[in-house]
Amino acid sequence: MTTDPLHTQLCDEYGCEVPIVAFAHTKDVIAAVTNAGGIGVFGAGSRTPSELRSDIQWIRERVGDKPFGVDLLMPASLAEGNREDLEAQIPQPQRDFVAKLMADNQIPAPKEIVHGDGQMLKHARESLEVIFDEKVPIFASGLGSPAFVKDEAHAHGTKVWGLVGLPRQARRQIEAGVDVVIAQGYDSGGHSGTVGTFTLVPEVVAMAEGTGTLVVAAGGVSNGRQLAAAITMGAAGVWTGTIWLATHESATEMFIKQRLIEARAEDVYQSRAMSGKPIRQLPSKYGDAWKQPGAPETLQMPLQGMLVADILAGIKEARMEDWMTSPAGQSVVGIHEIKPAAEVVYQMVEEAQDAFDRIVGAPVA
Amino acid sequence: MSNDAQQFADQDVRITFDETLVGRPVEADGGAPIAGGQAGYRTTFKGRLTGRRLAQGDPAWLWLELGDLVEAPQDFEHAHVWVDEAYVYFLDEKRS
Ligand SMILES: Cc1cc2nc3c(=O)[nH]c(=O)nc-3n(C[C@H](O)[C@H](O)[C@H](O)COP(=O)(O)O)c2cc1C
Repeated sequence: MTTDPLHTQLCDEYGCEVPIVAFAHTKDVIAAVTNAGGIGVFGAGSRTPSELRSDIQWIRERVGDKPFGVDLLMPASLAEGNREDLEAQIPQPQRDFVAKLMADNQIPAPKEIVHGDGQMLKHARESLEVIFDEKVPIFASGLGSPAFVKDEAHAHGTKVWGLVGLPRQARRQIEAGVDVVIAQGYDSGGHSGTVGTFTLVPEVVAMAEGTGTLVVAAGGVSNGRQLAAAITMGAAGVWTGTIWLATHESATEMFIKQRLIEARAEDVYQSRAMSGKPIRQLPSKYGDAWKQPGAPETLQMPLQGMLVADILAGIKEARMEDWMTSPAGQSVVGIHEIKPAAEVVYQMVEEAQDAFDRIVGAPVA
Repeated sequence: MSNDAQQFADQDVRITFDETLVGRPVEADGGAPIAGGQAGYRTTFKGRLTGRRLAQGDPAWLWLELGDLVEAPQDFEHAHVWVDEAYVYFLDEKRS
């Protein structure tokens, strides 16, 4: 074989050496993955515009002209209510349950309470301005459609990527001319969709054929065999999240890293106990408490988040490790030790090359 | 109608009315970041358009208002929801 199947169109168009994209909330992971030949994409959901600007400059100082990106969770629906009116709707049994959990387990009331201010459109727009102004190579929208800023992004030299969970969302983004569609399957960490990665990816690839939009596969990817499978399905690369949590560079707490190593694919569960929306995460005493017989139903968003804001902040402040958790996908199964992010990249590449070798029966050139 | 004045204060928003949209049945893929910004959620809505369209900023980010909700997350507390026009699927058209 004369061509390297790992050198995909993503490498041609973005200048990465290997088609591995790492999503992480830690800047050091982004720099490490990009410098190892992949593409790091920084999850900037909780950063203010000025924090984001210095994050971008920090990353750029370390990666130079190599490709990296910034991901924002752009909203796709808006139904904000008046906080006081909503608070009055929290039922008494749920209030009693949380109060008892705190009392029985010596969870202190938090000293500092942080509330979102509901100005989602404005915040998204301000962050976008920073991304374009700083000429970040890639803007990824992790939730809503990025189509409305595509032309503005392109004018600043920024490519536009959109993460989708359903084929119909992919179709819309492809029609809008988005540069890369990230097809994120059910197995993934965080806000996973309902369709499995193996089902979603080939369908989205077929839609994108001949359009100029590339497809990247996400959800459940933790090793090179899956990278090889994604490429075989027609994807131009993989987008990964969970696997980077347990790297040296990740700011994830050490005890969470340890639990990531220990967890099996079937251990991570989708729980609504944090926010009222299902988030796939590591098990914790807090998540388990809401599954016990006699526990009340979790409430809908935003009521659940309001109900549990104090207990979660108290758990964090008191560093009650057994009670803390992190979003994580079924790809925890691929985490066996804490290692440098670059090593994760190299190992995934090596495994993928082995997988291709096994198929064609000869070493890849 | 939702309480726009409070919800969109200081967000560079223009709201207009498009009669041709009124009552059209749609499905929409919604979702938003969860407070704190480290995670998000996805959700689907089904209902009828009220005819109101919202444009935010420049280039315009376009949203449609959805009412008469027949599908929404359990216990959804609002009579209306704004959904990004990019993920609105008209149920009275053949295409999705
Ligand atoms: C801890 C964690 C936080 C996440 N937060 C976000 C986020 O803020 N924005 C986003 O687009 N995706 C987020 N995701 C999803 C990832 O972008 C990615 O799609 C997912 O991790 C892929 O599946 P994997 O975890 O099996 O690799 C998060 C994932 C994890 C594990």
